[in-house]
Amino acid sequence: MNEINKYNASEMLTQYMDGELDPSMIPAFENELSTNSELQSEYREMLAIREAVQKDVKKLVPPYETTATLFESLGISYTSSIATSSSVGMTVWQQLMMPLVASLSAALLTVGATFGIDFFKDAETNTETARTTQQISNKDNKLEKSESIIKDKLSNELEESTIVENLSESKEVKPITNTSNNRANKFSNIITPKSSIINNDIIAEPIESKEIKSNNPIIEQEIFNIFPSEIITNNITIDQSNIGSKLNYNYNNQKFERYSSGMDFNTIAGGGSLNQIRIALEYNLSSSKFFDNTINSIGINFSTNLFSDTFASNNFVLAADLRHEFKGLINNFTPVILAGGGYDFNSSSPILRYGIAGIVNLPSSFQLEGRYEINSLTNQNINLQQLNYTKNNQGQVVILIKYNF
Amino acid sequence: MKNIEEYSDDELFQIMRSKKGLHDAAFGEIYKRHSPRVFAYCKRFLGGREEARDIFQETFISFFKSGEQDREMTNVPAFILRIARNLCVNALKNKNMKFVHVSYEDFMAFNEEKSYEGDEELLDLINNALDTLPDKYKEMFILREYDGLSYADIAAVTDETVANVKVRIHRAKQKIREILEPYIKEIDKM
Repeated sequence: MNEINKYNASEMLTQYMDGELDPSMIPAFENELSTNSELQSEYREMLAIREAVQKDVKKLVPPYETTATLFESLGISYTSSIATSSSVGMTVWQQLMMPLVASLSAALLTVGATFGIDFFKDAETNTETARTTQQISNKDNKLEKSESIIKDKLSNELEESTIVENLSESKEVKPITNTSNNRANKFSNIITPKSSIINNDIIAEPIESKEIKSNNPIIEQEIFNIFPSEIITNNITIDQSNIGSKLNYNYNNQKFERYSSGMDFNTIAGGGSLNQIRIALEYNLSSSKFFDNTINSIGINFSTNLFSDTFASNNFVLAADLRHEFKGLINNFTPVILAGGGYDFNSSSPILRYGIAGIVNLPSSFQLEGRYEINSLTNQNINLQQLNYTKNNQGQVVILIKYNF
Repeated sequence: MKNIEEYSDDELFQIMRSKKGLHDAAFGEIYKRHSPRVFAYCKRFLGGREEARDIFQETFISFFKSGEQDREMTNVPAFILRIARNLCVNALKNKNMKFVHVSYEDFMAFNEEKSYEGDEELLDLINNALDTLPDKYKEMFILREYDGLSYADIAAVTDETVANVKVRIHRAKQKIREILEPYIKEIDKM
């Protein structure tokens, strides 16, 4: 295939797109592609097909039940089998669920505190949540120890006995084998006094503190007995120019570090009502990264199209969900008050996505303190004042959201 | 000192075979890496039939058991997909299943009343178009586009020559493009 002609150009395009074209032919082919409109048209069409297939690929993941059954049939214990370095002794599902539960619980708790919503509906739920977080806390120490041991042993050709012994020490984390029945599903949006959760065992003393300031003043904060470990402050005016973009953070070495160059939002004021603001947090974990002590990164997106409900009588509605590409694991809890749908189980994230979202119907004037400050409704400018993240001594990362109306 | 996710597939397979402390973890890591593509293959190969899940599970059970045998492993994903392929083919034979081939005319009739405004619609069309392909082309397309295998790996999985793979993939894509062309052009205009 030395010459490019109308008979072989299409075939070469296929190989080119598949990375299989002879490297010596690539320059000539690219030259042909740059001048041949018919070939360009075919190229665009093939790209469209490929993009659509890639979306299909992301949806085609084995359901949780299928995986659970498989592992069970192989006689593999979750607790001892999926002992990755990032969380030794935890299962794949534990790895996914534990940090998710921990951070989301904390986030919900904080949001609940802010909004006066008790996500922990009853005493049983509180107890279970506390137990879970204690397990997470225990996990930290166990995992750290086991991880060190595993690394050493792997370098010594995986000597079996000691590894197994030490792995067994990390098995105190209770496996989550059926997410449909875990207490996450028991969360619900119940409006209760803030005091009902202030003393919850989940909240603990801070272990570190850091503050990052922008050139804008930080609003004085009071975060319900939670002390921010890190404050990221910035200021942005929301207008059409920055709608549709994102704000991303990296979570490295147990702290958040901002890495995006811009402070952007994804359609923060939307939904067809100028007086409504929708706010959502989402966490996206890539396939090899888990949100725990050894996590490499975590991203946060602000998006606005997750929930469509409103809670007119109270001017806000808050909801949360768990979503996962392994569709059997999808959990959506805290159904939106005054249900009306609006969940968007977008599984396009690499492996795991979960989030909380709130919709606020704005009164005629108010200040949103903590995350956003609404300066003026007349021109719809919104200033982000600060983002607060807390890592407490139980290993949880608490997302702080504070709104003052 | 490496984390287990830093091991190559082949190293993981050896750990899995070792029956030592981390062999279950090694299997878990391999599963984590390759189960989506195997699942996608089974689902698309069998046209979304219920058997796809069973075969998917069977595939990994067979793979797990393969660790008991003394074998060299140089391409774990191709090996797993080969198992999946054999199981899919056997399932079709044993249960007298056939691919649901949809005629081009039926396909056009089925879709002509739909409005196509984006990727989801295009995806529906592609899935339907896949059913119109002969098995040997359909499989090549799935292995290439869904599983991301190289031509050489596809040849290894399917026991075909690379030259044959090259031709069939091109033809499969052309066939799908030919079927979808009116819709893609429509989308392109929007």
